[in-house]
This record gives sequence, structure tokens and C-alpha cells, in this order.
Amino acid sequence: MYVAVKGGEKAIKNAHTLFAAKRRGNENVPGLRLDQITEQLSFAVDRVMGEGSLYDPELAAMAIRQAQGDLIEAIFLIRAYRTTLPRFGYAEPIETGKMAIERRISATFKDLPGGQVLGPTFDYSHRLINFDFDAEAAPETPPSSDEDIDLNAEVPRVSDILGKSGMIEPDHQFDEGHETGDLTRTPIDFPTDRDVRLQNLARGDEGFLLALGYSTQRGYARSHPFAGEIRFGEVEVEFFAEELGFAVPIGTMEVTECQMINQFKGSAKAPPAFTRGYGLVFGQAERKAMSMALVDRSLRWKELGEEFSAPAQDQEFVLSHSDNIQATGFVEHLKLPHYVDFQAELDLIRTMRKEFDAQQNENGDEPKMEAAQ
Amino acid sequence: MSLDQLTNEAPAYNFAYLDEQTKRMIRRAILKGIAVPGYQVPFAAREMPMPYGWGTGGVQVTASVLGESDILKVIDQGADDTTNAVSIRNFFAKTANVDLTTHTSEATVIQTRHRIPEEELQEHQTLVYQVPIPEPLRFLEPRETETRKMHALSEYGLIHVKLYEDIATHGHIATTYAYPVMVEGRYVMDPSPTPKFDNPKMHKSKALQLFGAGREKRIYALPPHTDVVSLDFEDHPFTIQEWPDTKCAMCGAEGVYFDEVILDDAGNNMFVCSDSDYCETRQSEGHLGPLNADYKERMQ
Amino acid sequence: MPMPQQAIAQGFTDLTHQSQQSFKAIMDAMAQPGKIYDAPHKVDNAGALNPVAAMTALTLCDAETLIYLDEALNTPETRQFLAFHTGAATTSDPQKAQFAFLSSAEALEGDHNFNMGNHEYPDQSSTVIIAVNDLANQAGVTLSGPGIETSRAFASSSLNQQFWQQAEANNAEYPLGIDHIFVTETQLAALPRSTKIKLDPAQGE
Repeated sequence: MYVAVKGGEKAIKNAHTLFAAKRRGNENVPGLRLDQITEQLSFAVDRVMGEGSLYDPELAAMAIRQAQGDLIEAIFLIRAYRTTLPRFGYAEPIETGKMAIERRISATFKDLPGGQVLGPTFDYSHRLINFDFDAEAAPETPPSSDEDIDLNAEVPRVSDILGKSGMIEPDHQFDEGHETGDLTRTPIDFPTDRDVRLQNLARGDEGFLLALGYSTQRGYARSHPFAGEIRFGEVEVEFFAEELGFAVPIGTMEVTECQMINQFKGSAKAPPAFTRGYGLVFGQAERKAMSMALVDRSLRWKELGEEFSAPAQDQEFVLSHSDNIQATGFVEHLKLPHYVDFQAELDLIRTMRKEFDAQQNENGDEPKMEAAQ
Repeated sequence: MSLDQLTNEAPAYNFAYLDEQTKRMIRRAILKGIAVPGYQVPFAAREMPMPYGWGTGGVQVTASVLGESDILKVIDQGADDTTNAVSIRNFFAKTANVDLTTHTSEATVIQTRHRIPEEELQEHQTLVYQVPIPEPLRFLEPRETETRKMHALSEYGLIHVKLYEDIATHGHIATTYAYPVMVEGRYVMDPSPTPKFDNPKMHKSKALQLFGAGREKRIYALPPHTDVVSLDFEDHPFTIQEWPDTKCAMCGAEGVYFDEVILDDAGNNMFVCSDSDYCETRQSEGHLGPLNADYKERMQ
Repeated sequence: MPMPQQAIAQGFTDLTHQSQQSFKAIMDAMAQPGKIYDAPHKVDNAGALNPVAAMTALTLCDAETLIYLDEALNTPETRQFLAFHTGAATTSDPQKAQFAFLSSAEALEGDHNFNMGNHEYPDQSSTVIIAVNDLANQAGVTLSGPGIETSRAFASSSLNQQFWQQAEANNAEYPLGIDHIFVTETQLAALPRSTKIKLDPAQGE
């Protein structure tokens, strides 16, 4: 005798209990502390802050722990929390030219004002698993910086240096009265300007942007990029206080900035000059910042009078699919019951097969398959 | 803006989760949707604590219309006890503390995914649909810039061509759910992935119908008594699904939308009402289908 | 935000629920054009706004909206009330106004410059809230269209033939057009752009 499936409520509760137990794992192993995550898994924390679009390392660590290390799930937790926060206003633009540099490299000049600062990086390390790794051991004391490099001095951006000679296009300027867009407050209206595109890319999935950026290097909208400069360090955030009439510092944050320099032969719209692609991401996230810069540049094809030929240039395609929270939600929603629609399709396929078989019979052929019962 | 406010603690979650500013933004969009039935109003959908594609649009609309004295019903696939319906109902039980019901007639607000209740809705009721892809032309033209132009110009040839191609290939229209409708002779609208069986219930419904698409950031609406006509051709009129000679195995209902339930490895099946409240109400009124446990008893 | 010079009238005492109840009335009114609803809340002393206009402003306006006020309503007290409770700025350009509050229908008796939206975004239009003396479902004009089962009689002594001609022309532009909300001291009714209007020739003034 048939009894309809009941108890969705109980099943959900039990699933959550099971999941909490799985998250904790073997209880003889010490539970993760937040400071272990913020201190020792900083790249994960930075990615969650960047794509979560909320700068708060401790909160990101909480999300990573709760999400069992699933970073997209952690980003989702951050996003869902972020959207509930009251909005007081917009900070002043940060001044990356005044960044307290921790790392700064340029691939376009051997040496340059401010110097090359390799800083903390995976680069040039040999990717060999360290089987003797001692998690508790104190690391070697890092050397103090070279005497001839003052990390507290203002370090000019490579793009500014090039700009003085007119070799590179000037910084992007909007028309007077242009209000910087905010896609969390106004849905994107295509085609959209570079401010909203950059906001979208900054929140976008690292893997998606990496693949798109890579595709431009392989010839799908090739843009001849050079890593003009990548810098990582701490910048001050200021907020304009109306009662004071001036901007006051409210804190600091770490960001990675990438200025990609792209060869440009000129077009009907613009003279030959180097052009820019721009990436800016919370924390140390060079792969993301570089990918963002490549995609930003490829999205500028129309403004520069270039030919349209590849997915990375297509702003509706790129901007509509970059958000991993939207993407994961919609892909995973296929797990929800769809049996009402499936029933409708089942009914249709049955009808069509009957018609097919009838026609085959008419033609004197044997039916290839028996109609579904 | 005062600096003091920057350092204040975030407030506890608001009634129905959304903050008042978000609700106002959504409410403004709902009013525009009602004033231009079938037109998709862009709105700044927020990230919700459930995934995109799992009803965030419907949840935001419900949260913006729901009041303390409302009675809420949530269904998915026509049933109140499907997992996602349970999850969304619990969300509102927790954040809004409103009365909940499974009875269609008792509810003032009904949030649904994929079905319209069998029982006719009334003027004091609001039906909120969860919509995954609000654009009826999206599968024919993926670009928003293009589809927006088509709606602006009432340029709906493409969708007629698609339906006509079906007829040319299969002898009939092969769209079974999310079957496009024309609203008040002006906008082609996606009815959400409800089976076309439910399309006629939208036409001149007494209830207000609101549609929320969170991921795609669109809201649209049908005020009561609005003309909603399924697209068709004179020589191929619109038809709905039929199950000839089929009765609900539980309540004996005919002419409703059925779920097919596989009973054994041999593929034997039976059909039961997709609308769980409709089926249970009928059973409680003494209508029994042939596989109902009480049926045999009755027959003796 | 600078402190106001003089005491500003109280807005909603229970923002969440009073906003919801007020919105529900406005939504139902918009969904059933011409049907008259009692305002669930009346907000007194809101500058020159009548209590139901003030309720509407508190329900729908905030820092993301621009408000137009006609001359009679554009007083420092009204602006102060709106700025304090909603954070909405006012504009003198009807084209830019998401919401326009009018002391009478005079501005709509003939050509006007409120925003009708555009064919790609008909939602980018002005919603006009008009103070009227009375509302009645009796012989005046006959309304039909979405939200109305067959037809609905509608009249207000504050709305003359010129207004109704404008409203008819407004409907002719559908899906472009402005949406109207009529507010008395205690009641409201709405006339969205989708409503067809039949003028009763006997009702000319």
C-alpha cells in the first residue's frame, strides 16, 4: 500500500545534524581555531574576503571553518551576511600609490624608482612536498629589507612613470557627473561602463577569470600583455565625515593591485600607445588580480576600436557568469525536485514515441523499440 | 552620516529577514510590476541565506509583502512537505513568526515553485512564484540587450517561429512547462516552470500573482482579473496535459495534475494528485482512490 | 545629518509593521484600480502633506528616490519632514522624480512633464500622489482593465474633465505612462497606467 513520502522536515534536521558531525570529524583531533586559519591559511582567507566582497579576516576564517574548507560555500556565507549590514556610505577611493609595500614587482623594467621588492611569494619556490614539514617549528627569521629600499616611502606606480612620457594611455576618466555604479544596489544594465565591470570582476570567481584571462593569452582576443606592475601591501581607508567636513581614516586593508600593460597598434579611435588592464583585489591574490586585469583589458575592445572575436570580450557573457554564488546556486538547484516538469516531459516523450511507432508501422518497418509503458 | 554609527553593532535580523530599505526597494518594484502586467522590472536582488536558484526571488517578494497577520503556505511541486518548501516555510517561521498553513483556502500568501494549487484562489490571496529564468525569450536569444529590445518593440516573431517549428517537426507544440503566455495583449511572459496544465489558472485569476527571480534580478506581476493567454496558432490551439481514464490512487480525483509514482522494478505505476493539500482535503471529505488504505475497508 | 531646527512630526511609531500595512494597502489599491481603501495609518503634521500622502511617502521613499513637490506642498516643513524620515532628496525637475506629491490634480490637467518611462524601461516612470477631497465608487468615469473584473465606477469632486482626458491619454501611451495614487485625509485609491478610462459625457464640468 502506498504511503506518500512525508517528513521532509525531519529529514532536513537529521541531514544538518549529520553534517555538523562530519564537519567536526574525529573529536580526538583538536578543533580548528580561527587564529590558526587567519594566520596559517591566509590565501584562503583573502580569497573569501575578495569574492565575498567584505573585508574582515576573522569573519572569513569563521566562514571557512563552518564551510569545512569549501571556499565557495564560505564566500556564500560572507555574501549572505554582508547583505544584511546597514550601509552608511561609500569610502573615499583608496590611494594605492601610497601603499605600504610588502611586495612590488614589474616585469617591464629591470629596475625602477622604488625598486623591485620580491617580498613573500610562492614564486621561484620548487613545488616539492616538504615531507619533513614541522607545523610547530619556528620559521627562520626573515632578513630585514635592503637599506637602499625604504618600504615606507611612497612608491610611484609604473603606469604613472610611463604616463609622464605619454607612452601609455592616461588613467580612465569618466564624463563629468558620472556616478560610480554599484551592482549590489542597481542591477547591471548592458552594456555597462568600466566601473561596474571592474566591480563585477573584483567579486568574480577566480577560476572563471583565470580561464578567461588564459584564453586571451592563447589567442582568443589576444592583447599582448606585460605585467607592468603587481603590488601588494597595506593601504589606508578613509571615510568622508559630513559633520567634520573632511575625510578621516577608519582603518587599513591589504590589497593586491595589478597594472597590465598591453601593446596597442592604434585604431581609428585611438593613437598607438600602451593600454591598460586593471586588477584590484582584497588581500594577497595575485592570480586573481592578474586575471582580472587581462579580462578588464579584453572587455575594452569597443572603446579602443578593436575587433570582436572572443568570449573574454563579450561583456554580457563574462559579467553574467562570473559570480560563483549565482553560478553554484543555479547549477546546484538541479538537485531540487523537478518531478512536475519531468512528468510533463515524460508525457510528451510518450506521445511522440507513439506517433513515431505509428509512422514506422505505416511504412511497414518494425518498430525499433517498444513504446514505453 | 555620523561616525558613531560606523562603530555600532549590526542589528539583529529584521522581521521577515530583509532590512526595511531592501523591502522598500522591492515594494517599489512590485508596484511597477502591477502597473505594467507581465513586464519584468529590474530590482537589486540581495544575497539571501539560501542559494540562488532555490527560491531567493520568491523569498524576497514574500518577505516584502508579508505582515504579522498573514497566514503563509509554501509549496514545491504542489506539495507542502517537499524539502525546499519545508526549508522556506521554516525560514519564515523563524524570521517572521507568522501563522503557517498547508490549506490553500486558509492561506493569505502562498509561495510556490512549479505549481498553482488546484483550488481556485480568491481575491484576498497573493500567489508568489519562484522564477529561475524570467525571460521567456532567453532560450531563443541569450542576450539581455536583444531581448529587451524585442519586448520594447513587441517583436515576438521569434517565439512564434520556435513554436511553429515544433509543429512542423512534431505535428504539435513540444513545450510542456514554462509555456509562454501573452499578458493583456502586450508582453510575452514566462509563467515560471509550471506545467502548461496550470496556465489557464493564471488567466483572470482573482488572486494577485507576483513573480520573483532573485539571481536574474527581476520582478513581475499579474493583478487580479488580468488577461493571460497561452501562445498558440489558429490551426493548433493551446491544449493542456490530460490523463484520460486516470484517477488519483489516493483520493480518486480526475482532471487534476498528477505525479506518477513507480511502484516496483517492473515499472508498474500509479498516479496521485500533485497538489498534496487538495488530495488530503478530498480524502478527509471521504473521497478515496483505489490504492488508499481506507478504500478496501469502505468497499467491504 | 544636521539636527532640525524645530520639532519634526512623528513618522511611523513601528516602522516595520506600519510600513508593511501601508504598503499592503497601496499594493492592493494598485492591483485593483479605483477600489477605495481606508489608510491603515495616518501621519499628521507632515508639513503640507495630507496624512495619507505622508503615509505613502514614509512607505515608499528613501535615500534612493527623488521626490517632486508642487508649489503648495513645497514648504520647508514638508522638505524637513521628508528629509528627516525618509532621507529622500527633492527635485524641481518632474522628469527626475520617482515620486511626485501634488496638492491637487491641477498639474495634470493637460500637458505635464512627469516621467513616462521609456519602451525599454517603462518602470523608470514617475508615480504621482495626488491629494483629493473625496473618493467614491459612483458615476463619474468607468474604469476597466487589469485588476478590474468587468468595470468600476469611480469619481472624485477634485478630478475634472481635463484631468480625466490626461489620464485617458496616459493610458493610450501604455506601457509608458505615470501611475496615480489618490489620497484623501483618510483613504486612498490608485489609477495605474494600465487602466482604461471611459469618460461619462454627462459628467462634464
